[in-house]
Amino acid sequence: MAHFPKYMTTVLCIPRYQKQLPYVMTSVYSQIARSEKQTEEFRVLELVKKSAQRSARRKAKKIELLPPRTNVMPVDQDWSSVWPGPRSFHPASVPLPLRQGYNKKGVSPGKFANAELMKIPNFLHLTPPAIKKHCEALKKFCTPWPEELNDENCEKHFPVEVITSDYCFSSPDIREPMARIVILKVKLSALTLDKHAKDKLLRLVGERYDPSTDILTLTTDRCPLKKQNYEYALYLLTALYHESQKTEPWESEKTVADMEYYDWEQNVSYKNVLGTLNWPQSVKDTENFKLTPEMEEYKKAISDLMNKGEDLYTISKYKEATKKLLNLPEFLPLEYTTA
Amino acid sequence: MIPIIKFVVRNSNYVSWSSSSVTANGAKVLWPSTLTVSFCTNNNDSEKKPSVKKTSKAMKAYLERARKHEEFIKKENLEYQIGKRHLANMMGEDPEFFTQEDVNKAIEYLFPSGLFEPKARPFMKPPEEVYPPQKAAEFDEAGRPYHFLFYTGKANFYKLLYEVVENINNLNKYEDRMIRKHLTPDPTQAMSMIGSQWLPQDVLEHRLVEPLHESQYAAFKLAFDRLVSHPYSYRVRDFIEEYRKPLVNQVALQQIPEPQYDENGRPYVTTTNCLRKRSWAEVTVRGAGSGKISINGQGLDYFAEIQSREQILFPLIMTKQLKNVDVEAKVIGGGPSGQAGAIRWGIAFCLRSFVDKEMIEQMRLAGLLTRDYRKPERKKPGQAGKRKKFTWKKR
Amino acid sequence: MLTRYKFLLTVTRNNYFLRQLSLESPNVFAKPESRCRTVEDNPLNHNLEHEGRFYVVPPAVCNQLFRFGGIPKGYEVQAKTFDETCLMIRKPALEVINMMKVADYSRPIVKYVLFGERGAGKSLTLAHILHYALNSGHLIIHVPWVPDWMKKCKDHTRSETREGFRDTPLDSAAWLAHFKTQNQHLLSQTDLTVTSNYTWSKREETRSGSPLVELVDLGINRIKYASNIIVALASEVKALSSSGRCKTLVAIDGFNCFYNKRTMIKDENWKIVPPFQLTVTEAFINLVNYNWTNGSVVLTADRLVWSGNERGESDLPLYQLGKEAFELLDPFIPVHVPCYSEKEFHSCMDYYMERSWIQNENGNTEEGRSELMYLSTMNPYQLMKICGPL
Repeated sequence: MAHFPKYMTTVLCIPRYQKQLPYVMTSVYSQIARSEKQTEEFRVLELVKKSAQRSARRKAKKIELLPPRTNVMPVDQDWSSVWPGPRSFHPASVPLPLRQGYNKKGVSPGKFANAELMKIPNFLHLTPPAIKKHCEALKKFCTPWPEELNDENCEKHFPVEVITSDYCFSSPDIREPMARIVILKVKLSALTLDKHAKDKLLRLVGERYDPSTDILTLTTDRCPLKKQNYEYALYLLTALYHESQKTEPWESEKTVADMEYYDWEQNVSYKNVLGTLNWPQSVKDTENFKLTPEMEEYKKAISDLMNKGEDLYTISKYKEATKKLLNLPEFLPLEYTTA
Repeated sequence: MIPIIKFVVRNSNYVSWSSSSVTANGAKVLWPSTLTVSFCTNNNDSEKKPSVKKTSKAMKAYLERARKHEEFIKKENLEYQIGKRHLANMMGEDPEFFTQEDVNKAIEYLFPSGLFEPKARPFMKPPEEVYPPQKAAEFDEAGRPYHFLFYTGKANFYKLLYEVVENINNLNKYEDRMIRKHLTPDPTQAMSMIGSQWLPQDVLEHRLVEPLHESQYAAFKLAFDRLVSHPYSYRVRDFIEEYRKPLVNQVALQQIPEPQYDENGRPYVTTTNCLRKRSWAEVTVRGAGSGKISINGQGLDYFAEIQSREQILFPLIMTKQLKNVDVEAKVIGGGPSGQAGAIRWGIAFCLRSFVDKEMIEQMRLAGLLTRDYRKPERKKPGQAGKRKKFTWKKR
Repeated sequence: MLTRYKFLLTVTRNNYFLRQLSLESPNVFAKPESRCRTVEDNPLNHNLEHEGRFYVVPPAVCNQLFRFGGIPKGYEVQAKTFDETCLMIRKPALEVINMMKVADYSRPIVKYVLFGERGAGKSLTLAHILHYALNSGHLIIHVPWVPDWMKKCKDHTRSETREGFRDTPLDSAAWLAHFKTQNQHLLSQTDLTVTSNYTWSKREETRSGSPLVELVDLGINRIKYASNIIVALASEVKALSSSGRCKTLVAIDGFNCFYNKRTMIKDENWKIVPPFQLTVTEAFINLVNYNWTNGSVVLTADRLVWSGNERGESDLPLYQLGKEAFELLDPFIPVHVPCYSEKEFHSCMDYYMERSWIQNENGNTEEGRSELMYLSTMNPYQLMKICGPL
């Protein structure tokens, strides 16, 4: 150690370089050997070291790779213990001879050093047996579905239906923005609403109500968390219900044009009919008239026409009702008639 | 003294085989030109060493490559089989009954790639489908080729032509025998070339594992046409069919669906995916009807143009089923012409189940059953339209 | 083709000489009864027996009723080719005519609204009803096609009597001429007099008691006052009918045009004039009101009054008329004018064959006819168009 140059001693103190100690030792020893040789003779100044005397270049330490694990995997192993969680694709651990990608001329590249396979999401952690195991594990936290709770009873006792979605992931990140959406469905027949309240609710709610199934659907996604959206949906329902029960003072200014259904007695048609039937007396007071059966039929026909929509059937009903009202014959007689 | 002829091939990559002679056994033997023949005696000399057949380096390398390829394919196959079993185990399926389809489905499940092009998605296939077919070693260590036509360069191809000629010769002989017996070929068994075509060049190349020139492909077609034109060609029907590819229409035509029956007992056939230009249609034709036509709930007045109406009526008028069937069609997308074309094809396709074979053939000849795959061309940048250019200004 | 033209030439040559005769004796060249024809050309006698058959409108009647319009242009051309104006007797017309015969004329007027898809035959039904009205001695107020006034107005000026209104002098005068022609026998024979005084200017006035013809003539001569005269005429006719001196038929083709939001008329400031700012509109709206008796009103609610694809979804009256018009007309009798039934279709085809209109060999075969049935979807107008080139 005595002949070590100074820089060597300092270097050797650094732990990092202590690993390379054997190499250092050999190079140093060779130098010592050479120097010892040369002390006998005149030391020749070597400007350019000959290749033999150059210190052995540190060859890159070849890390001996073990053969891939897949070679020794038994065919009947438990895959869920091999791949328990979401992880990016690792070729040496997945015993499938997968290929993906293009080569200009030749075969698709294999799984080793294939970036494409790593980019793709993979669900190796959620194979069907793994999912079955999850279900088995969760079963002990579950109780069986009560038998009495069939569809009818569900609707009767639990009229509010809340729908949420959860998403599986192929990566360790579990944030999914779609998971915050909460859909709340309720049948309006389950709510106690009088005529005015129902009309007001429908106007407030607009397109969210489906008249064919009588279901009101509220979809909330304005909050970042599912819980917040759920609470907001419940709040919305409560607010809607109570608001529709109230009657504001300005609601009395509702005109005929605002009416959501056709009320014959409030419309011009009523006056027209009365005027026509009672001509030449003009009709001022429209409230005290009794409706004859023809007028009843006419009222029904025109209300249907307006409320249910116009088609050939409602029009023909209207026609018949009008004919009866005006005392015209049902249909053409076959015989000759002269005016 | 038994002459033992020793063949010594000097260091040469190329051996010329010039003359032949007969050995003691009477077997024909080819003699290389650079041949040294040394007669050996039975003396106990150093020549008692067993005769060593020396092969050139190139041949050695070639044989080595061929062997290695075979081994490689075997290894790949083994890997694939094991991988398949692993996959079956992963998915909880029975490895014995795990088919390639199951493999594909499982890969799709485990690696749901959002890539648009199906070829770019991950797959697991047996090596025969992955690696292009290569010929095994074509000659043995002695350099002797296995195939008798090896020196043509395209052994499989010429073998095929040879087989065709053989068949023609055999059929000629058979015909001669039949003529002597005063028998004629059976016209009912005659081979019909309609509805199929000869294998396209690339498929043939794939099958023969040899690249073909255009002239060679033409020769192939010529030879086979010659064979087919023989009156007794039906005797080698199987051989010919191997090299025939049925046209798509024919395949579809052969699978005419049976009509289903609805609650009223009326037969009906539904065709979906009737496409024409940008339109999609779904057509149901009900038998035992009275000629009602409904398109998206409306009658024929859905189409204002007479041409569109005529298009829809054409298959019904041609098959004379106008008053016998009811047609219900749903159509979306495209314009009147495209929609009418889509519905027309749908009606024609459905009517196959209600009509006899002759009429189907007539429909096909009329072009009613051909799917018109033409799609509108896109507009290109730098042009005003598909083909129209901007006004050309000289300066 | 040549034979057909030769045939037509002989026919026209004959008709030219005999036209004068036919004015007096309408049935001189009546074609015989057949599957598609009937000899009975008086709508008073038409009933379900004649349903589906054609009858010839005598040329004199044609001239009187339809000189200024009333028959659609396409049909008119065909009539000229066939050298006869034939109308098919169809159920909607028979229904309205029957109701008109049976109605109680001491009650307020009954309104009929014809509706149907384009080309179904609303205008021709109206023509048939007009013929009936003529033969039964009605006073006819007929507007051939309202959009002609709205879209193709010949001339318009600012109204002098009403603020913000516009007059249509030429059109009004033309219409008054039409009115006079249609009712010439009534106006000349019966005594229809004006009931109130009208002062048009310092020198011109119409006193009560003067004949109605005078009022009409004044309108034709003095175009300036024509629009206002129409308004006056409307109220006069109402008064006359209510008093029992005449029975009236008001026939308006394209009534829903009055309830359009715009016309093609622009005033001096290039602002679009809506129909309710035209003087003439008031006249006809007044006529449709239910406060008079001894009259009938037949209107059509047509999709063609709108421009382009406006209101193209349905042909039904409520949709075509709109809320305002419906409320004005309510209660009315909607009469559906459908496309041809099978019987009517075959009758029409027989007529075409008789007139040698269809030269194609397959035209008369069963397959050919069924093909035509489908191609035209039983629509009379489309059938006419399709058979043109055949």
